[in-house]
Amino acid sequence: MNYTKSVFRIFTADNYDKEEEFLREMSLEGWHFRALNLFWYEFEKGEPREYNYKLDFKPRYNEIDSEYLTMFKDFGWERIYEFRAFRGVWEYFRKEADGAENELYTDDESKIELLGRIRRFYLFLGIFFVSISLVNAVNIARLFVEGAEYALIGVSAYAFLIGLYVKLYVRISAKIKRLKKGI
Amino acid sequence: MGAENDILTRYIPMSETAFYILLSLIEPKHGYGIMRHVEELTGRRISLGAGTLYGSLSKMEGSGLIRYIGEVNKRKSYELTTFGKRVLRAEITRITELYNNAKGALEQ
Repeated sequence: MNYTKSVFRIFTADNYDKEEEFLREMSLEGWHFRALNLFWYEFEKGEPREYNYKLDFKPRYNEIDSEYLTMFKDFGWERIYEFRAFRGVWEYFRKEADGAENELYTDDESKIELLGRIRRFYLFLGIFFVSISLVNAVNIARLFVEGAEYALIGVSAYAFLIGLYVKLYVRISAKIKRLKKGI
Repeated sequence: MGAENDILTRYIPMSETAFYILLSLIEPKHGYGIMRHVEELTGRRISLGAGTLYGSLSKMEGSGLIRYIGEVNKRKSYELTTFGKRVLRAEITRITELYNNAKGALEQ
C-alpha cells in the first residue's frame, strides 16, 4: 500500500485555477497535497475528502506575516504549502467544503488586483531572463546566419522562452479584460 | 488637502466591499470580526473573502481611511480615522440621494 505518491503536472502562472481544481479532485480520491518540487506534486494517502484548495500570490515573500496567516486561518483556510518563485511566493490554502465561503477573493476588483500582481511579476521575471540570455542569443544568431544550422536549436529555444512569457502575459490580460467587462 | 481629495474621488462611488468595511469599522474590529459583521448586516448576502479583506485593509490603511489600534488575541484591530469617517459620510450622502429618488419611483 502506497502512502505517498508524486504526480507530474505543469501549471503555468495563469492557470492557478486549474491547479486548484486538480488538487481538489485528488483529495476526492483520497490523495492530499503535501508539497511541490517544481512540477512534481507530492500527495499523501488518506480518506477521500472534499477540500477546496485556493492559491494566493504575493510578489514579495516578506509580505507573508503572522497577521496574514492568522486572518486566513480565522476564515477557515489552512496554509498547507508555500512555493517560492524568486522574490515572489504562492501560498497554498485548504478548507473543508462545508458551504461556507470558499473563495479568497470575492469581488472583481480584488480578483483583478491578484491577476495584475501575477502578470506584473512574471513580466519582470521574463524580461530578466530574456535579457540575461540576450548575449547568448546574439552569439547563436550570428552563428546561425554564418551557416551553422545547429545554431537553429539555440535560436528556437530562445524564441520558445520569449513565447512562454508572452503567452502568460496575454492570457492573464485576457482574464483581466473579461473581469473588467463584468462577464 | 489635495492628496485627501484625490483619495476621496477614488473611493466615491464606493464598491459594496469598501462601503461595508468602512461601515463596520466605525467600531474597532479585526478582520474576522469585520467579515462576520458584514454577513450579519447583509443577511449573508455578502461574505467577504480573506484575500479581498486583507488587501482592502492594507489599502485603506495606506490611504489613511483606517488606523491600526492594537492587537486583540494576536489579531490586528482597526477603526476609522477622521478622514475615513469623512469619506464614509460622503458616500452615505450619495446613496441617500439615490435612495430618496428611487423610493416609490416604480410604484404605479
